[in-house]
Amino acid sequence: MRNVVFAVCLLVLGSVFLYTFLSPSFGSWERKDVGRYYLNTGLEKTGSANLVSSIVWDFRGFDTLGEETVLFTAAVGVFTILVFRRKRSG
Amino acid sequence: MFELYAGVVVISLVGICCVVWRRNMVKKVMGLGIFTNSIHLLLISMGFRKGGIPPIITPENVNYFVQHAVDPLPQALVLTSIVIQLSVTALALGIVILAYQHTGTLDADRMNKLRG
Amino acid sequence: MDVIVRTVVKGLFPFVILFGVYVILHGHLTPGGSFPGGVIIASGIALLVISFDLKKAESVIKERAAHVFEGLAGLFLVFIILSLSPLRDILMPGGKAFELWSAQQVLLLNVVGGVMVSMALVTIVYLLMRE
Repeated sequence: MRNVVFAVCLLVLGSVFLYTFLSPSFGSWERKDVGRYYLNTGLEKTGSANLVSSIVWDFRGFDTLGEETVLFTAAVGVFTILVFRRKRSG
Repeated sequence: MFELYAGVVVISLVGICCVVWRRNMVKKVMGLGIFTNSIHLLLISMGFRKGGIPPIITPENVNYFVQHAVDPLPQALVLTSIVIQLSVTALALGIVILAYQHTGTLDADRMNKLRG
Repeated sequence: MDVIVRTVVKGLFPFVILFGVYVILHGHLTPGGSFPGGVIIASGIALLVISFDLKKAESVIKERAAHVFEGLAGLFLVFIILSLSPLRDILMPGGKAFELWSAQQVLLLNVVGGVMVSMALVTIVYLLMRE
């Protein structure tokens, strides 16, 4: 029973991959407007020569804020699971 | 570019089969990491262009930078995703340690048969 | 562990920390930034935990201190990102491009984020290696 479910999931995943890779304009340079905007105006708006750092901290800073929250939650979560055990009641 | 996409499909299948068919709990967590890393490879390779240079401006290549640089946006998103994969792996290993302390075994099939 | 491993680790540990601080500080000029630099610093301390025992690594930084530094750095990061623009101009360095003291908020955020990532990873390593 487990092998039948596994084979069905593999078929669905393979068809999703095939649909993405065989579409005509996959990975062509004419569709990338946002990347070209970051390349043109990155240096004079932020002043940093590393464009990936300027995207991570300046243009899209709220995503990095959410990711730091996830990292902090992981540290507190490991502390709660392994150290902070409550005594059983009753 | 076809070999790169075939390699991504093969590595993701290896990761999924590792989660399903291994009995040790630590090896299942490793399979999750392999699958996530193959999807990161697919995301970064979508921003490629022919004859591309990395998106770092130095005083030498200011003139021909805009026509030749690769896309910097997928690299920034994959940086966020790597840290999230790290957090998921840390929490999963904490749960594995707790399960070992509670039942005394690391075998997933034997953990199904324990009671209480 | 062995005598050879312990001697080599004791000699290499300051250079690993120095390299991590270099990668964090030059995050706006070369590839890197806060996330790879924080991982390098945390793996230097994890090297001490593996080759010696937990007490030797506690002599460099305690578990309580790492937890407190992580919380403070996270609070400072939230305060900087969510603040208004005229308040940010007071704290930021300004200068020409391609220098070390140049980018407006990328340099400051790299340092604060590097402290947070390295202290979070050190906390996780200490918690998973307890008896």
